[in-house]
Amino acid sequence: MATSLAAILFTAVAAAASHAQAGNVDWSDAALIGLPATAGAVLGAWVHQRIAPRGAVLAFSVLLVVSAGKLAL
Amino acid sequence: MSHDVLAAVLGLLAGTLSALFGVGGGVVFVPTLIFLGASARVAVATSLAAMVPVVLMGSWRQTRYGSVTWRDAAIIGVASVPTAKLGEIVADSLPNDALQRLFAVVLVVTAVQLAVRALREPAAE
Repeated sequence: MATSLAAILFTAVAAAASHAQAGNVDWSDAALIGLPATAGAVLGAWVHQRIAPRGAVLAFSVLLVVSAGKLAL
Repeated sequence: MSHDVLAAVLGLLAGTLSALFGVGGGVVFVPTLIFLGASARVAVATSLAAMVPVVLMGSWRQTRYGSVTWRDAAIIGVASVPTAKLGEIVADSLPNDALQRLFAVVLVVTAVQLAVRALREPAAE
């Protein structure tokens, strides 16, 4: 799991660089979202170690499907 | 609420949800960026750039626990570079609506995977 995360680092850098070359990256939004998300990820990992959120996972799945519906329509 | 404050709040929430439910950052970053007004193409590209600090922090924390095999990570990561380029070419060639709908399919597949995994796990004690 940890090694896969580190591998994603290479992939994300390569993919972001490729998209940046095409001029598609909004760097301001990337920083505005990515930096707070870093703190959020630490918080999320901390919460994850303390609860077994089956109901929350199912609720999150529903949220993803609702988001998908909004994107598709 | 201004765009910047909203983006930062949604970024914090997206990072929390991503780590809490073990899903890739893109699953939450891309809809967030589209909600903020970005096109699907810019949302996908910006989400990848936003993932870099999150993954960097995660990898650094895991390295401190000694659980990262950097040699394997580098081999897998470098091997994914050409396919990342291919992904960018495909994303760039698709019309915005088609890319957005394709991402909607990814969201549904992720939702189903999460739900199935949650339902198969033994109930929390």
